[in-house]
Amino acid sequence: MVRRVKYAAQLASCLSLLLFAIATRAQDASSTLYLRTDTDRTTVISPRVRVGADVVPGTRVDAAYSADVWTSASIDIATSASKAITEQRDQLDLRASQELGDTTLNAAYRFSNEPDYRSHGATLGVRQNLANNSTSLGLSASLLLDRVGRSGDPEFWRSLDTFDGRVSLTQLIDPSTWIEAVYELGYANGYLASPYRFIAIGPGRPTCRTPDAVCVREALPDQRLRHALALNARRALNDRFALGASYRFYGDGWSLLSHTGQGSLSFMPGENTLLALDYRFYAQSAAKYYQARVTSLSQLGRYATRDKELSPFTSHRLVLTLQHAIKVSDTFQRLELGAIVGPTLYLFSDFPPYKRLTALEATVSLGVVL
Amino acid sequence: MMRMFWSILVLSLFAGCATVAPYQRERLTKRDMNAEQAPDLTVGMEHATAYREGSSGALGSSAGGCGCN
Repeated sequence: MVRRVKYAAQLASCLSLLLFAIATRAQDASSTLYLRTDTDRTTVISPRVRVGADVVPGTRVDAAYSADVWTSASIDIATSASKAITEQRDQLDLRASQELGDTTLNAAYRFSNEPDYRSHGATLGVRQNLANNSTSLGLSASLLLDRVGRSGDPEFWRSLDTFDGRVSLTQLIDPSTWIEAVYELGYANGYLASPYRFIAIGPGRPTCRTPDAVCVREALPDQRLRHALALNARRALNDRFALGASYRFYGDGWSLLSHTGQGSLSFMPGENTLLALDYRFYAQSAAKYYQARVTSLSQLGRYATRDKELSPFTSHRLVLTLQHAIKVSDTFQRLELGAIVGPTLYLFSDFPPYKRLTALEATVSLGVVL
Repeated sequence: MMRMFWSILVLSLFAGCATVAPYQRERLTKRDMNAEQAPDLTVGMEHATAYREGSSGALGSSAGGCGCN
């Protein structure tokens, strides 16, 4: 019965998109397929379709449907003594923007649904062009209202509300350079732990399958305040080459600090083709509630987690991007083909189950502009 | 590191006095100069990254809205 309802919801989403496309006489559409696999035995397959149109001059609408199908037998699942699981998440995104002279208003709504998690999100934003369009100031605010469930326990539902505010300033420096500064403040209030993650207590490296090991659920505070500050810049070296760079500093109320650096080199051999190579570096400290080893109950704090995403680690990612546009006929303005592929190496300095994890991600896309 | 970051931020704010005339922006309008070069292509990767790191925000997509593993 539940499966039928799920399929009916998916069908309704696809039909809504189709109706939306017909009603708005979509001017562009794209379909993408994202794949991810890693050495922690987790695989994600995510198809996505999007349609967009300028309904009237100055007004644009977009709608997208995506599904995440993931299968995992990761260490998180193994430590809680569960079997490998497969789950699907469906997401619907609606966006609208309205240009009013030098001002652009944006609104977006997102609904995400999976068997043990439901989320409604809304965003409102405004962008103002200044100084003869050489400067652009953006402001946006988002609110997410989530419900966190636990598979196999219909009584377990907790709320999680998240507020995000973002301000950005983009500036043209010269005819080939722009720079941008972004600050984002986030505040989450509600259930922030994972209902599936446990801490096994005992000597050595116990899991919840280890005989005599004591297992307790992870516990985390109900509030988290986040600050993120980023600088982005891009410069054209000549007609065919451009360089991009960005840096982000992040800090939060759980004492987690991180630094993210990105560099990009792009090459346009012709007007319709773009090749880019990106490198991303990421380093974070541990959250103050992270406990890698707990040998006795007395060592366990009021809040404790063994979540590897809250442990200290670094990562390195290399991404190759190819985009190519083809003029097909008078019916279609152009077809747009795209592909990206990138390996990521994670190096964990204090996560006992493993020291490194490698992941491979790839996305292919086909778009059409009518 | 933080001192350098703030210096660059303040310099970028002062750069607000600069203007680039519309006829000088031909190179800036090419696709390789877009802040978001291929949002349809990168959305999956950004989403996966946001759920595998302890931090989020200000770059790409924000975390939240799913119980992703």
